[in-house]
Amino acid sequence: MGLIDFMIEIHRLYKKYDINDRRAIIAVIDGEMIIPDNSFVVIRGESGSGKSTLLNLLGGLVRPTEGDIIVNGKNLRMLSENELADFRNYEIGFIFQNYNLIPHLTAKDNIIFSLLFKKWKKNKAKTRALELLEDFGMLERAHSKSSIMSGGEQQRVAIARAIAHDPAVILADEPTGNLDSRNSEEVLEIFQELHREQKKTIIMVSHSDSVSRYATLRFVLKDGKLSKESI
Amino acid sequence: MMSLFYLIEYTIKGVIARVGRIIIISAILSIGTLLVITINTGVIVFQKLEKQSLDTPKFFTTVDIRLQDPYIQGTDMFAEKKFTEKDFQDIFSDQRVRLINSHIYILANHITINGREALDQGIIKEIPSERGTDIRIIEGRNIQRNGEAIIGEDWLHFPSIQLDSKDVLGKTLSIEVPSFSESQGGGKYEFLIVGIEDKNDLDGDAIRISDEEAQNIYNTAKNIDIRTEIPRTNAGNIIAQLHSSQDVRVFSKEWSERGYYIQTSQDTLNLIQASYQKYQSYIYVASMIILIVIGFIIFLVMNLMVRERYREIGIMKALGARNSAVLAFYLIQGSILSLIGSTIGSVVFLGIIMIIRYRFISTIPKELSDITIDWGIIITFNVLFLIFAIAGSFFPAKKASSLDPIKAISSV
Repeated sequence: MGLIDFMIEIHRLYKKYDINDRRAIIAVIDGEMIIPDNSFVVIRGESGSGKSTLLNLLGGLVRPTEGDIIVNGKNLRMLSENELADFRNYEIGFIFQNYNLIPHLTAKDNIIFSLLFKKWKKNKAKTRALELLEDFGMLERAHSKSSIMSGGEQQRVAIARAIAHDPAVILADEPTGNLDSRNSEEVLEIFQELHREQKKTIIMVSHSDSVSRYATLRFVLKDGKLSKESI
Repeated sequence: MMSLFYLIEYTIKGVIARVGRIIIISAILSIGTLLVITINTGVIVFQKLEKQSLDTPKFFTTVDIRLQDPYIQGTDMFAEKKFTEKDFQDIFSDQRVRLINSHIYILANHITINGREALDQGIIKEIPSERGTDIRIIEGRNIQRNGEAIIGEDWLHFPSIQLDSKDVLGKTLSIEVPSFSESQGGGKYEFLIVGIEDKNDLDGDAIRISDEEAQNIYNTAKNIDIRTEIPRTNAGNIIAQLHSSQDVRVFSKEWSERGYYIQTSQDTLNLIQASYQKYQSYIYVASMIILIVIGFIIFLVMNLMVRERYREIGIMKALGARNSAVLAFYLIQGSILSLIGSTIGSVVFLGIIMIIRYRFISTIPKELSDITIDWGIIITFNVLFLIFAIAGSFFPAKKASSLDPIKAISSV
């Protein structure tokens, strides 16, 4: 993809999470983000401020209950199920805090698996998977099941999976949240490299100050209001 | 749509990761197939036996004239009517009739030895009312009829004559068969009893005396014979062959009017068919119950398998899989699991059949060992199990595919 600006507009978003029949949590987010191409965006906020909800909304993983979220001119709330799936499929790469790899598949197969839905030829997908694993120093673990890998290894595979189809934008939800400091540094360096060398736009949610030093743009989410921070 | 090849490959990997479930499903399907096929085999045996009956020449022109003997144990002949001398004469003189077989029971209820009551001699210990006694004569020698030796005739059924003591061995028995059946062997018989058997011990382990001993007894003790007088005759049944179905109808009507219970081959067939239909309806009900139970178990197993993979579904959706792709993925999983289970189940079933056929061939009825495996039924049931498996996968997969990816991921 080759976006000049990845523009996100958020208009008074409500997201209702049903706890049970009687109880629900409502997240309210309001604000505007304009993200130039090749930005490294960090969204900070206190625990429970709605950072992950915002990222999930940006990634089309959840729909707002009310309000609009416009990404590059597309109102995600108005997209059909298939259009939203295609948005996730082709336009973004998503990285989770707890990796979310498929445990019975190997590192290589987890990457190939994500390319299943993108109509890649098998040989091409396999080549791409091995290439990425080599880039991340994981080639020797290519045939290991993800369930027996360390957290740092799993997160590297998860990053490889997220960028396998070469999306312009990568969304990462607390990617170092479950890692020790050494692995956190290594993972952050990977993001830094993706940003600098592959010119990816990265939008990362984190409550860690150490992440902020990589950011070219910083936002803070407080009391439902999204605001830009000066660097 | 994603590549079908990929889809199957990754589904198989997912299935292999769940070997335990495959074993469960295979076991369920093999038990189900085995039960259903076994029940069905019963139907086939029944049909085969029925067909054999129908294929018997002149089956439909056979008439069974049943006559009541209330004293014959195990009989189901309950008509009050007994054969009379005229009846015998009528049957034997009827030009339409060719006798196939008859079971005419003669009760030795008045036995004398040398003109005196047998009980007085201490040889016959007890003759309970009119029921015959506990010892069956199974072999006689020096059979004479009206003073003339009979050689090579076996129509006199010794087992029908029952005595009460092993002491009759070596004694001569005289029987007078009523003269009205002379053309069928009526007359006075005498023979030496050389073999007896307890009627409750019918394993062929009879008590016999040697030929030499028998001859010795015969020569020296000829004067102490057992004489049986037959005051009346109770007959079992006479099976007659007639020339045509028309004869059967007329003959049956005539004898029914005389108060006898007549059972034609058609009646027999109707009885068989009635019991067959009843049996068949039980089989259908049993098969349906088995199918429903097994189908329900498969449904639950598949349901569980998809439910425990909600997180995987969430990941798939987060990666960009459309709902249709998620559904297809799990339907293929259900199908593959079902096919593997069915294949293993069928192989186990066939293995059991082979073992029965070749290992226990001598101990099972020939009709059963000859049964060919009904592939139609195996395929039909495997297809039904496949439908259950797909249905079991469809509903939870449909539900999961409509969830937000995050909700599905966090549902475990």
